[in-house]
Amino acid sequence: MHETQPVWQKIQERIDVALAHHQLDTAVPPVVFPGKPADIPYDIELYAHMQQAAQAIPAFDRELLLSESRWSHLPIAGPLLQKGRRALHSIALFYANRTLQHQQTVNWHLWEAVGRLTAVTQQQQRHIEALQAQLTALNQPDNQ
Amino acid sequence: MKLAIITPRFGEAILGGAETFARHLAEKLVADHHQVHVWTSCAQDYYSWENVYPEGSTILNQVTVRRFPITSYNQPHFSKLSQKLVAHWALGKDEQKAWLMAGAHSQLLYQALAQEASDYDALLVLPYQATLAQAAAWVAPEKTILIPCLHNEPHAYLTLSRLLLTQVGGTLFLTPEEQLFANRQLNIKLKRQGVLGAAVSDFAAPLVPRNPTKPPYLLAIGRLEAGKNLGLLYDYVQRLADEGSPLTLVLAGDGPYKPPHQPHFQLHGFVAEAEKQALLAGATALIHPSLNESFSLVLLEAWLAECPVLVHSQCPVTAGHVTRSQGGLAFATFNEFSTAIKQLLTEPETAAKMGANGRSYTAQNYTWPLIIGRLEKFLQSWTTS
Repeated sequence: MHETQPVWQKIQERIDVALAHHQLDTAVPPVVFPGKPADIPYDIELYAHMQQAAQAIPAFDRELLLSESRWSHLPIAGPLLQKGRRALHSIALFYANRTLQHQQTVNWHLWEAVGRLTAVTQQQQRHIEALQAQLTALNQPDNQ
Repeated sequence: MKLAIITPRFGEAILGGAETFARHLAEKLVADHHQVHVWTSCAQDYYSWENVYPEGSTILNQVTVRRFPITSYNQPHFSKLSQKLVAHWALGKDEQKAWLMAGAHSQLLYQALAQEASDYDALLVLPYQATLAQAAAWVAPEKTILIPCLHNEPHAYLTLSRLLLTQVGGTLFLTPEEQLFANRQLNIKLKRQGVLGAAVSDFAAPLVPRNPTKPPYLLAIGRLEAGKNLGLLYDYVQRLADEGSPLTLVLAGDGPYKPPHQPHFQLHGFVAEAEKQALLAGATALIHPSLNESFSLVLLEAWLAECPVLVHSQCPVTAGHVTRSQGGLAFATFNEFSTAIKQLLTEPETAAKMGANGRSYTAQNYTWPLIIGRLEKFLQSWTTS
């Protein structure tokens, strides 16, 4: 249906002319996980690691895990003991969380960096594929 | 000036941010004695693009609205390519053209526009992501001012989208962050650009006096979609409840991504304006956890009601609003979220000050007279250059 419309043809011509004459600089999306490319060869291991990292990075457990000991049920002393243990655990958790928060920031930046690098690699691989195709075409006997 | 506002869907029943902005912009421009025609489709729903409104010209709140039927929409192909785009953040050039072609279009609108574009001083087209808006902008790019409503999303990185931005006569952004995103992240050179901003309604005293209730609640307004980062919000509210907090989350909106069936989640559905004002007056804060926004009119709505806001610190636009206004707090981790809630609940004076700061920021930057003034200045310098 589109093809029969003169204005639509004009729109498509304008787009084609703009695509042919205006070279845009590269824009790299800040991808968290770039996804496996469907159109170019890729390193299976790289994406397997990225997928595992994507699942593991947010999974920090920062909650207080305080199991009951066999002394917890003692009358009077039990609750006091449990309270003391909770206080000690909270102190430990406070310092662990501080370190963890710092590590999480580091992880996040590293993750963003790997994501960007992978996206750039994908684009470069597409360029290589296109250049190789051109080279093959140029080396055809008809072009010699 | 004689202006055309071209937007794929238009009407009071259409609730999207760009569509609401287009409607208010048209009404305010008419009130400011400009001649404005809205060019739009007969569709109401952006999934089906079914023609619902009658074709032809009507007057809606003193704005002339010209409706054209949707003549083509290849939904299966469009959905397939859109899914691929979202998964890979990229499409090949032929796929991009196929994506554009498969989307919703009105050939009758394009034909009429090709004949009449020269009658207008400028064609204001929005938002960039709609295929109908993209095609309309290509009809007369030199006459077109694109109001893209850009997000950091896969569609923005398409060569076709970036190319369109470089080919139109001018681009108006809603926030400085959106402008920075286009220039830096999308890495494009625009012909002429400016920051327009947006506004919600006439600036007036809060309709309902502020009175945060007990037990306290956070208010979220808008469509319930996973893309709005509601999963994180539901998780954080659940964790607060597990820790014994009396805080509830009130959701004024509807959509597919509903909260868990728990007493600390209250789903109100879409609410009338009076109920929304009452909810804002009683809320501890308006919460907007979305990571991708081009403006967030809902923050201005909260600030007009002197309600502080809570936003995600990784959303440049909403975090930018909060930093500039001091009208709320930003969070990313659960600790930051729970600390922010604690501060809002235990320091009511600070919370009230944040609400007042937000209102003052809105008054200084985002009222309709300011927006119309900016647009007129931009158009005058554009038409005389």
